[in-house]
Amino acid sequence: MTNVTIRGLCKYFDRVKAVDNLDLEIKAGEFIVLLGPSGCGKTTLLRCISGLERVTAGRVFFDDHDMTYLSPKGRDISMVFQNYAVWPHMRVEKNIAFPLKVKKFPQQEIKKRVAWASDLLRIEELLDRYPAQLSGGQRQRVAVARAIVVEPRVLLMDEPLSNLDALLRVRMRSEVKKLQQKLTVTTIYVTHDQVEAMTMGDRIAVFNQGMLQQVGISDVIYHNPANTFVAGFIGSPQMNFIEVEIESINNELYLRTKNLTIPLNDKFKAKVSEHSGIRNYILGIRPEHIYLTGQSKTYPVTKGKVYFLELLRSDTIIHLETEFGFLVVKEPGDLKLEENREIEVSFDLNRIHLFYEDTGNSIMT
Amino acid sequence: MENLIALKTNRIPWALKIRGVLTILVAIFIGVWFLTPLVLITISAFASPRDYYQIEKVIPTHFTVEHFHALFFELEGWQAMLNSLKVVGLTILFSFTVGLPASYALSRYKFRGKSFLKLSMLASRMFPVMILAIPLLIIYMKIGLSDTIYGVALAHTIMVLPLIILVSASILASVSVDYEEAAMIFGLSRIHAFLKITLPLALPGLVASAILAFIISWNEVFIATILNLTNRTLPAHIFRSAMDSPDYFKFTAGFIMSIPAVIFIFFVRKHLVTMWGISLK
Amino acid sequence: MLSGRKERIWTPYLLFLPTLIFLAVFVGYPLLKTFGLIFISESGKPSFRNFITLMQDSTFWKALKYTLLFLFTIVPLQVLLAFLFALFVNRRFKGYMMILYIIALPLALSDVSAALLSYNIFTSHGFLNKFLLKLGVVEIPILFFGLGLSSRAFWVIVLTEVWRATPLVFVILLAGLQVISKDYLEAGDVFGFSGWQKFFHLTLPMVMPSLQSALLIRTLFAFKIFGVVWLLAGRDLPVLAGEAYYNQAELFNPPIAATYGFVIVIICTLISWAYITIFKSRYLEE
Repeated sequence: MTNVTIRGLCKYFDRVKAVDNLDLEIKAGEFIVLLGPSGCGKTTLLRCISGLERVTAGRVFFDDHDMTYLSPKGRDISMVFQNYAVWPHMRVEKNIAFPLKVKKFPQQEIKKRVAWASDLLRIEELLDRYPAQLSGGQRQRVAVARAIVVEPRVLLMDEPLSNLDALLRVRMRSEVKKLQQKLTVTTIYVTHDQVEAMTMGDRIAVFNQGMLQQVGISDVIYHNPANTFVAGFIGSPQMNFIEVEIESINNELYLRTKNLTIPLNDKFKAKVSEHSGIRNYILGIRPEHIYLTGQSKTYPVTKGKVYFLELLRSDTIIHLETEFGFLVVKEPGDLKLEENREIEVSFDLNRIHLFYEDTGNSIMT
Repeated sequence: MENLIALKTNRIPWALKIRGVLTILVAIFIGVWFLTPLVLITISAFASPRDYYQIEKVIPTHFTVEHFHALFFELEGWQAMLNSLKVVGLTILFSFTVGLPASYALSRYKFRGKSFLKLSMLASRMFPVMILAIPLLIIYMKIGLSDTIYGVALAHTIMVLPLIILVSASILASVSVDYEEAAMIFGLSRIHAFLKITLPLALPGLVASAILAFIISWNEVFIATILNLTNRTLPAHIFRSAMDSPDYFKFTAGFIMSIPAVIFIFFVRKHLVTMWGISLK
Repeated sequence: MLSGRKERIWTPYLLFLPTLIFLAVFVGYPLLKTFGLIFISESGKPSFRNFITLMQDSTFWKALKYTLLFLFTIVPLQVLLAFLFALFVNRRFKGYMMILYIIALPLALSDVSAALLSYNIFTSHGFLNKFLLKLGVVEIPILFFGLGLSSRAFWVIVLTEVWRATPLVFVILLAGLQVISKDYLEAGDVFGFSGWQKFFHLTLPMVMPSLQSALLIRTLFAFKIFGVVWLLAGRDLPVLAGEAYYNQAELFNPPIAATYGFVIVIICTLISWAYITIFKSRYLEE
């Protein structure tokens, strides 16, 4: 089991900063997910860790060993590629065995390990086939088998499930996660799929524009997002953002805009009074934390006109037209509402997020 | 930032620097190997005969365009060049008129025997077309096509046609069917949709494949020499007369023949790998 | 509705019709004519006389010998050189497009112009001799062409053909290298392959189909070798296609010329057939 430490890592392509001054500690045996939209630099970071890409500056350590300028060969890693890269001219068995052969394992050991991996991934019947004769899912299993058979210090996975169809992807999620728990190998997993990240990762590192936005367990990422990017990227439908101003009424602080007035929660009070000079904030609230008024009258209330309903049957997503813009509300179950009807909704005060308007950072950090 | 740059330059291993130098050396070798003969023929084409026959003069100092004049206007080079251009033009015309519908069929339809037809087009590239020159001459003599540029152009069309069909098919296939179908949804007939939508989109690629046909026909010498006695194309004319002419005429002739080739390669350089890749596979 | 369906079924065949008619008239019919020319005597009876004449002619065997000699020297050199160039250019260093373009220059040159380009260098007053004289390496010009010098001419022809036709092989191989996904090689890197291991176990097997087709095409082209040889060595180095030309254009003997052509066709067909049965990349099959 290996710790991976990344310090001040930069990777520039000409002028484009793919990864910019990044620090990240990955614990031994951990399953960490690098999450972000396409082009955010997460794959570049993975390739820098693998040694396929030469870093512009910074250091990569495995435990105490500086790996920064080592070729992939010297790093004792393995990788599952997005389109698998299962060599087309070798049979499945040879694909799995070949990395071992290159590392000069004895014949007996190679046989044992191939048998072990193909049993683990249930691909014994495929060993004699060429990759062209396999389905996408089967090829994916071969790629994973090939990656684990060398017992690497660090296992890298570059969007390994993104080319699978939806059903298979869901099944493979749990399989890969179980496999990693069994092997306890340090795993760095790149994806743009937040559901994958939430379900698989011990911790999640969220990226945008080459910079690390937040690292943490899924609970923290979801409930305490560090900035508006993380808050907006995680969760579906997206969090509602409302521009608000601080107003003092009768010595009490309120967040206000148009016909919305929200008393400032205790947890924010200390932070806001420290920065009493700042008046403009962004209020964030997830659709599932806004309720139709009938259900809880204790929270502050605002009004809106039903613009559109998404009837998912398990949930109902209501798009409201309000004086301060659109508001998306998610209610469990099947709801019957006519369009254009005026309704009242209330905000769960304990679930409100507050961000500085200028930086987008959460005021809690 | 300074710190950063220092890190970057410090750590580039020697192996990489050596590789860079090696790359440059190999690139220079390739440049010299392929360019030297072309540079030298250009020098010789303009060199004055006196300089050429002076054995101690490696690089000539006196230049003239006299040979060009003589070659074109006294030795019938001009006529031969016109013949060549006519043959090339007719070859392109014939092969596209006959072949383009077939390319369209290959690129847009699924039908029985498609892969067989495709394979036979490929296989016919392997066939030494030149040997057809002998029976063709006999046939041409009967129907009055011998010693005409039409006869040569038709023979060249045999060589070029399968190639044009395959290359054009792949170029047409690269234009998405969606555009054409969208046009058909909005009321154009299939032929109109092809002419108004697909053809303009495919035009640059088709021009490149026409240039391919140009090169093949412009260069062909065996068939052209055998079929025609008086209306000779440029390569045939040079082929028949070059070795009996003084050296400086040979070089001028070589230069004149090489120029179009070099220019055309320049124009098709973007399509080079894809096009020749297809045409030669 | 029915007629609409019919139209669609027949359309592709109708589109192919002009091509098929053209090939039938200009390939099929002349081919029949060739058979007639070779195997039917002037009196109208079937005969193998032309064939027998050819087999008994020592020039034919000489031409076959030189054609094969050219084949076995030129083709391996070309394929090797072209493969090295392709591997080099495929590294995509800065400015590789420029090098690609330079290598491609001779692609469009005819054999006639290549012969003249080469003559310009190797003739008695050519650049090579002048240069060597100037350096004092030789005292009288080295002659490469002329009676009794056919072995020197042979190597000049080899050099010329290698120069002219290497780019053809290069382009096929480069196209083959470019379709190899970068991922396959990076997977090799990740699993600890050395440069040599990547080349021998990944690149080489995957480029093999292109290598084989390049080999086939060059082999078949080598049987058509004609222009360069004819211009630089004449009939001192007889080759099959040259003899066909000589019999037709100089001796006005179409049956023998056609027989030479026929022999070329037979050899080419045999080679193609052998090639297809021997080389089959199994992993490409579904």
